Amino acid sequence: MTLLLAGLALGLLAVVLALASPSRARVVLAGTSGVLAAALVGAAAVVDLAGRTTRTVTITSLLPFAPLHLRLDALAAAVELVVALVAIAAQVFAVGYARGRLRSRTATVLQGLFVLALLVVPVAGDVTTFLFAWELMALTSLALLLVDHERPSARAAAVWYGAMTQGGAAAITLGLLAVVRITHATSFASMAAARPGTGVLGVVAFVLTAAGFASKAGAVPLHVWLPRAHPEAPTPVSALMSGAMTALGLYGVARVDLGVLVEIGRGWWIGLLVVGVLSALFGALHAVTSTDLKRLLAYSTIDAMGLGLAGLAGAGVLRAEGRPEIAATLVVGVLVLLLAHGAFKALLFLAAGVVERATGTRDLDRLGGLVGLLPRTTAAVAVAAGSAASVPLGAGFVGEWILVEGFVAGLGRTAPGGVATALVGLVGVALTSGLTAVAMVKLLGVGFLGRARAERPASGTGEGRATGLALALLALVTVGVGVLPGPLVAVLARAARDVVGSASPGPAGSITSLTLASTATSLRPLGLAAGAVALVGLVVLAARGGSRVVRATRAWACGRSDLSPRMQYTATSFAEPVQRVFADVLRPTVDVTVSHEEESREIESVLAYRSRVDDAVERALYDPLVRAHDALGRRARILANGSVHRYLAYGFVALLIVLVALG
Amino acid sequence: MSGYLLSALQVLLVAVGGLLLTGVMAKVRARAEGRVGAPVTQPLREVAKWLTRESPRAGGASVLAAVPYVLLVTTGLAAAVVPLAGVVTAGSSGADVLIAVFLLLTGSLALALGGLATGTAFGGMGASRAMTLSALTEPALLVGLAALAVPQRSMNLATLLRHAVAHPTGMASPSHVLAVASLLVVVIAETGRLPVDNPSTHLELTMIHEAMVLEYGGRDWALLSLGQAMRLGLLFSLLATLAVPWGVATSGAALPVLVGVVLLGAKAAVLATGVALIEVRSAKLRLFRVPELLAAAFVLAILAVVVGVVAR
Repeated sequence: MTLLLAGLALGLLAVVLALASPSRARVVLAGTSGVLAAALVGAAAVVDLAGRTTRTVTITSLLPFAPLHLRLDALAAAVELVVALVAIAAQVFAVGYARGRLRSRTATVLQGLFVLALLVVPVAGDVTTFLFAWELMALTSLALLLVDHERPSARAAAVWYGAMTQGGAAAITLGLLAVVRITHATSFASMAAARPGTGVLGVVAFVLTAAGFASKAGAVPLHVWLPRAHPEAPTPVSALMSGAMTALGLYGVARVDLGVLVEIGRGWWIGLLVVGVLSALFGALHAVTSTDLKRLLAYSTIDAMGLGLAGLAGAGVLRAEGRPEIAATLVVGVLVLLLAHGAFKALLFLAAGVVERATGTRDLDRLGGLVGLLPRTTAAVAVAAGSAASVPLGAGFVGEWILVEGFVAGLGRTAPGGVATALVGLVGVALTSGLTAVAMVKLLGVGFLGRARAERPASGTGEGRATGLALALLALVTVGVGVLPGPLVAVLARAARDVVGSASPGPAGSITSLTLASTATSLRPLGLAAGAVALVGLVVLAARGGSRVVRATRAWACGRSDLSPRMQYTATSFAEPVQRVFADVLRPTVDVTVSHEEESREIESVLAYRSRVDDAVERALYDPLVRAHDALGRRARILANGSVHRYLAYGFVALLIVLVALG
Repeated sequence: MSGYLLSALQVLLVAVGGLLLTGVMAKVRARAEGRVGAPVTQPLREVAKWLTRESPRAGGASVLAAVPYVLLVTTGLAAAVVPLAGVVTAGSSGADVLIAVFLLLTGSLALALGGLATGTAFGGMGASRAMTLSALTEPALLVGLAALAVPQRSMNLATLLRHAVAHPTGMASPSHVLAVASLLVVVIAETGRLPVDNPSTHLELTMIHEAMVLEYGGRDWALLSLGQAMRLGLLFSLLATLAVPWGVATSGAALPVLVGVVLLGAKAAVLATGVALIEVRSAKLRLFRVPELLAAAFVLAILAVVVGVVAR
């Protein structure tokens, strides 16, 4: 607990340093303090997970309205690991990356506050502390989105994000108030002990909190802010939002819905499961068709978080069916997924920042051949993309593997609801895993391999030291978790058991293996790695017997010699088959314009092909809403015609109403 | 016989067997079409020949050089882990079928990246098509395997096969038949055979898989085609073993393993002959008709799970 408090104090110090230090030292000083803060909090989480005690602390005098109540239990520690990792990497990166407005006092202070809020949310022990930290997180990230306020797209993103995040916060507040009302308790620990019933208020609390938290995690149809806000935020903030903040959305579901509202009917959980699976599919499909590098990553976040939500919802159903050990397996899978996603998604967002700075664009259709310009970044991206595509020995594979095994275990002897849940979850994971792989091949193959598709600015900057360090750290964690998942899973299992209240040990891990009792299977990544090394040696030896002459040659171009970079497959053309197969879901708009030569209609001069995939959910649900809102706003203008007399009358009437109401 | 020895044996079997199965399929096709055809050892000889040739590399040379290794290592690793001839492989408690699935997926990713690395139109075209089809076969594969896992509630192949050998009647269950049917479609798609892809086409525009690998030559091509043959060998052996698990050695003793090897070869050869006969009798599907076939396989797999759960 001392570690945690020291970490949070350093986080505050980072904010103070950002305020007080001179502009030249600001980013470095505040960044160092912030990195140390995250490292200490991460260490506190590790100590807590290794030990078996839950510690609480109450700070009475810091905030004016209520005491600050901190509680570090296993679940908090598990999520804190993710937040701390992403925060360390993003802040190290920011030290090397920050230019222009991102170096300003406002931006540095806001970033320090954002990190601090992210670190406090998981350890918030009661409702007021939680809501305070949650709101601080939402507001600081909103303000950071406006660092580039000159770009209209950033402003539009901020409006969407502001509306959605405040709506979500309102839903969470109301939901938590309902829980407080049922349980007569304000701390999460005593709430869980009260086991609130399934009355109307319980359902209201479940729906409101689940909606609020799921919207933070980008669940369809509350996701519309995410593909706008994550790409428009400054790069380190994108990484924090995507790697850590979305994870906190799922943390909220685990903490409140799974941890407190224990008695809720499984029908609600099945509803949430369907939402999760649909989000995952929707995110994966849009990730495949997106051509903006960061937008692709944002949609892939929706995909990963959707799977996480499905895992948590599956745990809810299976616990209600009396299978807490399978529920615990699923929760462990989600926790591993969160850590894996935090590492690879933060890495990919940071790498996208490097790419944007080096080439001046994020458009995959104009990128290509970056492996020559940014070799180390390309290597890091390859590691992260592999992890995202569930390549064995990557962290993402471990999470996905545990989730699939959990759902398969659910197909065993459980009631029909459990079997349906397991089948839906399994189908969801199965459908998304292939699509995710397509998106990642596109990202790496089109963006970084091949040949450059457009001229690059001569002033493009390469890879810096701090930025490289951040990427290397995240790549190391990705591979480390993939090769040695046993110890991590062993400690995460405790968090999962706490959440679902399971008595059986659930997933077990050692250095060499990771065992799931519910499907009688295990993973031996260290053995796999050794086997891979042995096979590489064998193949190299075998290949030595052959010719070692390599000749540089021209690529096959059907006998032509002018193979220009424009003839390569672009991101759009790479995704075209998927777009066509899933046209009913994606509803792409394709324009083909043919103009003819003046002499003859038979000769075509220019053929323009444009294809656009808009968010179908946004068009169907939000466009009417926005239009209605605008119409209402225009109508309301007649109330404000500029006459001072009228405004005075409004004030008078309002005063009268207040007096009457109070009297 | 120790687990490591069996694993090494399986890798060797899959490598040589894969090449031989390719030869067998070519031979069956030739005979069915009224030709004599090349001897079944032809693929072995070709790989040996290409190994001695220089490797021409165009664009993306470093990636092109790495792809065959990734393909060989991931496929070899999957062949070592998964029980084919006997269940007591090295680390058989970790013989989870999902590992094999995702190792094979890694091989596909490497091939697609190799296609994009060359910076040519055909490489990208092949990569795009192959990844699209791979994304659509993945669900059928995972759910089909889950259907086979339902009776034992385990994705561990060693557990699954032990049970299947002890209870051979399970093979006649409708769930098993449906799952095997869906996996057959998956195997045809993943190995790039007709009606999904024509492995012997010379027309670039109709290529899926071949377009990705146009730029390999010499030793690179030898290693790559060995990797592709291993992939075919592994998928065929896996499907044959799962469909008809008779003869899989449940102990590590030498004699049962030997029987297991011989029977595995026979089962895989029968399967290869069957697939070759399907190839003779079917024309290549239009690219955008293939998703319908794969969707059908996916539905079969879901049905297999449902039937399996209900019948239990």
